[in-house]
Amino acid sequence: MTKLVGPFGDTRDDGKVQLSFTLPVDWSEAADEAARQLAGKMGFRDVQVVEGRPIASGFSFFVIYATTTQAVDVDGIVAPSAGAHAMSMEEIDALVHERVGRKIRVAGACIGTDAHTVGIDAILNMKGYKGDYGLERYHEFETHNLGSQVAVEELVRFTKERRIDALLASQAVTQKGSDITNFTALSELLEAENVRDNVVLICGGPRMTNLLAGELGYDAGFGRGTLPSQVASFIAVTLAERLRQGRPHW
Amino acid sequence: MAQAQLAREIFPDAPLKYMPPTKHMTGDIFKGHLIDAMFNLTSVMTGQNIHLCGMPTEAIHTPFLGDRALSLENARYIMSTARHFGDEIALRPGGIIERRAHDVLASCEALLDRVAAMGLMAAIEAALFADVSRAPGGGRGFEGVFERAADYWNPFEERRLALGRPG
Repeated sequence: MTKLVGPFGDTRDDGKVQLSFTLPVDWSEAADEAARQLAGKMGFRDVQVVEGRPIASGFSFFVIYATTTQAVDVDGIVAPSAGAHAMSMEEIDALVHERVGRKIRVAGACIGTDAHTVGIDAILNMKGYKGDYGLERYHEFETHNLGSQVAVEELVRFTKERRIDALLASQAVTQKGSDITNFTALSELLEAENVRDNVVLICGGPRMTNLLAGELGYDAGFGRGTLPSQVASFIAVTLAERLRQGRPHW
Repeated sequence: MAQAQLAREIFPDAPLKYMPPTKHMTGDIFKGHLIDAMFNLTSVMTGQNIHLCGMPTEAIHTPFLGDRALSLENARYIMSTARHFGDEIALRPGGIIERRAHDVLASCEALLDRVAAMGLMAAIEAALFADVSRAPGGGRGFEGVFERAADYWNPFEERRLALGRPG
């Protein structure tokens, strides 16, 4: 069965959206009209430029309300979450103790030039996030938080040196897709160094999705609102399963 | 508010720079814009001299031109309309803001004592500042740091020192 849904302004299926953008032109009545026509070319109907004003010499800013006729079938959409089977800290520790038989070595870092450690700290730091303890608190995890602005090369070197089981790469702020470049660089370097299969490779950030992580060559991706126990259980279950299958490891 | 007012009272004549924390920013740019407005109000009420504007989308990507314009308009609006608002407000003695300021001051003093005891470089390495650790023998950009050679000479530094001004 299909269930088509579109944007809801104040009535079902009215298709109302808001958007805003800047055009590199001085403001004039014609600039408003240009913004209206541009939104029309995007496929929007009933375009209303509710605000248009100069923001600098040669630049104008617009706020627009418009209608879309597009809709999507929500029932046909699958976005598997890596955090679906979260366990408690005690359950995870017990599972690792029983099925891995040693502490899991975890390393995490903000890679590239990113200095925003809020995300990785929420997952790794003892105190955790939203009352959910971070990985440092787990008895069966040996956790290394390498901090911010860690070069991909340094992270790979650390991974090989310490024989890291699970690697967490985080990026919060991006400039023209630099996060994708850095994430890709890490997975490719691990491949090139022939250690990719030795690690459970995880990426995280406010814009990350598990689908995107798969495309980037990662085992899982965690986005905004992720709890440490979701990441911990993914690591524990994945590693335990790999060992059960007798897959090569460090 | 407590921290901004504290800095203002301790350094009454200093050109203070106020930087709102970005950690509250999420993907909700509308809420972010509102939070920035409240930081703008705090800044103008406590007489900060230099204000680093928060902006919509700053926790998402490097803010677009339009985001920057909105941020400046936000700051301009509040800093001009509320310019003298702070002069009308007296903080309640022993109230939450004053007690918070005392807490911050006390923990600052304790931090400085620790830094004095262990030395600045060791304190930086121990992540005493903003929970960020930087090792003396490592860190980003370390490959660009060199020891001065015995015959190192910087003609500009001599002139600068002769002028008697700090760097």
